[in-house]
Amino acid sequence: MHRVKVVWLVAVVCLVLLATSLASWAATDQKTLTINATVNAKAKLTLEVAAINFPNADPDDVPSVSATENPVDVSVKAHAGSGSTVTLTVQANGDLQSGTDFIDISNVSWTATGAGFAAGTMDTVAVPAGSWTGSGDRAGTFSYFLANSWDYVVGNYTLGVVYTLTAL
Amino acid sequence: MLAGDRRKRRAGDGGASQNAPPYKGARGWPALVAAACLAILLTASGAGASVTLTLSTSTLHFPNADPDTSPVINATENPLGVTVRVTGNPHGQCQLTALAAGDLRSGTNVIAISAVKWTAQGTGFVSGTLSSSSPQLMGQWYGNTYEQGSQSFRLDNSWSYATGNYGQTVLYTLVTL
Repeated sequence: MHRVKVVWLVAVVCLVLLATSLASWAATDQKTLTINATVNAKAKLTLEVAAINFPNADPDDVPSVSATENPVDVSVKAHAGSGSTVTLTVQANGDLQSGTDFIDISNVSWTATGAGFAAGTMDTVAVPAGSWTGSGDRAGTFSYFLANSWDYVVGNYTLGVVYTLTAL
Repeated sequence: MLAGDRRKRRAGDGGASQNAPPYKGARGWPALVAAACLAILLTASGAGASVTLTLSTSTLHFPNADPDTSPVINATENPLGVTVRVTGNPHGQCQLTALAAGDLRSGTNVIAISAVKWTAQGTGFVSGTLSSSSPQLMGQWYGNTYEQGSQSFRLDNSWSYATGNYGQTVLYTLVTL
């Protein structure tokens, strides 16, 4: 009689297991895929124009001459460390020059729009024109002005300035 | 004594065999039920089913790229070969899913794992976007099958990503249902 009970018990257990396992047991295989991605430091500066021009104007009527190209669109894009500073500077190569005549570069200034972009005055040393923290795509504008004067000698003045965007 | 015992035992057995038909039947059919249940159990449990998943590589790499010129970065190892083999499961369903362990990480910097997508080629294979919150379906088949497909992974590029070497694991699971 004891053996009969055991067999019955086995049968019942099997039925229970069968009922519970029908929906839960499965054949499985698993594999792990590792994904890596590299992001290197990069700075990308885009100016809408490569040259600006200050037209002739009467110093009495136009004490501050606006560049014909104003406003100039500026785009600053950078991949940087999360806490790193992204900086934009501008440095003039010298004064505005026409032959042997000069207009001091400090007579050229600019205003700025856009978060992080800074207004300033040109100089022969690097001057801040913008600052940001971390990676991002930033857009702004610069508008340039020349302080007019009766002192200027007639001529076609020219000068190069260098913008430098740095992302660490 | 031994011969006598055997004789007694045979005599006893003989006596018992007179009541055998009802008693043996009562003792025998539960055993049969148990054996049948066990057989069904083993069959239904998928004990006979076998699945094998093979990936042509265990690592993918997205190289550095300019987001303006490469808004989408293709994995260097594309296409990733995927082989699925299912046997002993003639009437069942089989699914391949992928679950990321988290976002792409480089120290404290993060690129959302949803920026990683794949396109699939091959019968039963499907395209999708990686997730770390729920397994994403990569393929589905019925019955015994042997399928060879491929997956091409891409990363949505962005200027918002901080510099770094990012990494994360993705668990592929092939299972019969």
